[in-house]
Amino acid sequence: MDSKSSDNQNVFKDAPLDPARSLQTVLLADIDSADTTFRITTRKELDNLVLSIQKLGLMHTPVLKYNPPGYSIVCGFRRIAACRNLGWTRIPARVLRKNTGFFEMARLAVADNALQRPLNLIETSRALKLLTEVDTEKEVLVAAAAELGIPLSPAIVPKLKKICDLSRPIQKAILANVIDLSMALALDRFNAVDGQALLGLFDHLKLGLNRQRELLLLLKEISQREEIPIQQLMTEKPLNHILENTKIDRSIKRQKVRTYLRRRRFPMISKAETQYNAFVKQLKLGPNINLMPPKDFEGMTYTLTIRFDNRKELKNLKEKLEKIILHPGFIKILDG
Amino acid sequence: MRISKLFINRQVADHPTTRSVQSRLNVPSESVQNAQQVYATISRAADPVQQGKEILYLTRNKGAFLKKCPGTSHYTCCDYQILHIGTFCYMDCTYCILQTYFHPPILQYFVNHDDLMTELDQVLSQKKILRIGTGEFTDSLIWELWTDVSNLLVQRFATQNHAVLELKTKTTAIEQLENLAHNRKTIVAWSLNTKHIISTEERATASLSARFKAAARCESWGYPLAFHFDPLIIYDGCEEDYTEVIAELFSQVSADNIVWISLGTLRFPSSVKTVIQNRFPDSKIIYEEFITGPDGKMRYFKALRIKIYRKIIACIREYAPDAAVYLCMENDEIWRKSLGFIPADVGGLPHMLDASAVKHCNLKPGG
Repeated sequence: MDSKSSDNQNVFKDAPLDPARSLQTVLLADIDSADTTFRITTRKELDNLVLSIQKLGLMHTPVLKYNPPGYSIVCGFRRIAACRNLGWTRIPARVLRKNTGFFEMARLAVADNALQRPLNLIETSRALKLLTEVDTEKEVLVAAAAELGIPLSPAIVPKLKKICDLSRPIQKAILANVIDLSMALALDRFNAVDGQALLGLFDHLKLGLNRQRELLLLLKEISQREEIPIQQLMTEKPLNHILENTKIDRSIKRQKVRTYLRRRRFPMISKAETQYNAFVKQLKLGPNINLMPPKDFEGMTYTLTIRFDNRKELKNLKEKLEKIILHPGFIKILDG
Repeated sequence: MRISKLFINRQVADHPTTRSVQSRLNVPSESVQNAQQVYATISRAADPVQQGKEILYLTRNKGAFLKKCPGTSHYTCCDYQILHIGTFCYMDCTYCILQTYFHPPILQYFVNHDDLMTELDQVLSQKKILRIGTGEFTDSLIWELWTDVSNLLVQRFATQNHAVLELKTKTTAIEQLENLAHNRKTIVAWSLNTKHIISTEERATASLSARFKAAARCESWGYPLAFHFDPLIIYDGCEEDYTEVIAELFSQVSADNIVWISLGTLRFPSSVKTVIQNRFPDSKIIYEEFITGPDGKMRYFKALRIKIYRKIIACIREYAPDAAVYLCMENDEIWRKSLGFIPADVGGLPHMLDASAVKHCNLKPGG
């Protein structure tokens, strides 16, 4: 603690503030803002807060933990940062008693955030991690979590707790609503370069979770099969060409990317589909006949749907059906 | 073999087979009240599948010993009868469906051979042509080091003339078969694959050359043979590699002594894909072009299946034009496009295989 820089030199020179006292005036220089053990908030912007403190003063005093030779923050990370921005040298703060337990401090930190506003995923993760950091009786933990609105279901806790340890880009993407919890955890299994490339793709195409999963699976399986990093796959010319095309609408771009990757992953199946579609086109079935192949062309059961409103239409369709039956292309499809 | 512990169901603690296995294995053993206790041990492990391969549970089979091959809908099954001597396997093939077939998978051996033999006697007394095998829920010969089950079965089958026993394996554990009076009623069969697949996907199994050497020895002891190219796995260069395996096969054994050769491309329930990804992250076999068949199993897109079947069948035909070659779990379209006929053309697949068994194993229908 650099007590010499204090305005109140005499007070702080020899002895630190009594940690047992609840409300004290503390030198900002003595507060270690780098210790983020109890930080819940992900918000970094300070402008509004600085303005508010400037106009109305510090309405809610931060809570500090005496951590010789100075203090660590339990509640009020942003308030303290705002006060520093305002050039203050000391602030009023509530300093916790020396014997305050970790769980109690965690509860204060979580409450300070959770009772004011809904927590985002990362804040929830940080809150959960803090509350479960030390062994606490299950009943006490459950009661505290319920009081603070933190989920404690066994299925979700391990997943949520991981979130706050994920890489910064993934956390950023969660906060920007580019990905959700399950995708964040899925991306965490990739190396940083591939993970970032995937995040970039999801953000660029503004994909929903199902589409993200689909593209992720296609890219991952091509990458595994061909031993090519995902990032390298994404720089392949055809894909890059689609992604960098500024003339096409995003929804078309999504479709093109999906089609390209599907073809890349399943070349034979895609080729069979293309051939089949070309064959159906040749048949000129019109809008009232639909000829569907077996799913994935497995088996020999084709499905034919016909739509008609009267006998005349049905008769016309009958003639078309006869043509289909005798079409060499169709015979080839059925008989190989 | 890496069995590190034996669990023994209390009900069979004093069974002579239990004692025999116990003395031959010579590993720590624990008595348990029921299978749940063993399951609990396995389930607690980080890799329960691996754990299930390292412990052996000796118990009584309370159900039927003879079961119909489970097969699946929409595909032609050979109508094989399974003789249920035990479950799972200590070898570790990436693609093995037993990894998810049993919950949890556990190396389990049924010691109540008296019940097995009683049931077998009943079935054999029907004097129907039957093909019975032990290699569906386990490898037939992994038990040879600790048990005498093959000895027991080979000799029982030798005393009748209308059923064959097929022992299907990836091991070379054939020593006990040498001096048995088998009367050609036991077919010794090997699963075959390319050297590449054996080294990358079939951990702890015998090498290809060792399998051939063992097959040749069995042939020299008078046993009829069978081979199963199952699963055929597609990869760059696989056709050349399978061609080499076939050439090697026919240089080691006589085509006339082969009762049947089955072909089946890689197929698996989707749950196995997850297991492969977790247990064998370097395996690439699941990243070919698979579709989900009407039976819910993943299998190669049909054009890929037809291509490899045609290639392999043509190659086999060069060496053994008359061999009974069949497809395992395929539909009529694939049969016709690969083999040029469908099972119905020859009276059905079971009939086709029965006829080959009659011919090679001197079966006497009704005899």
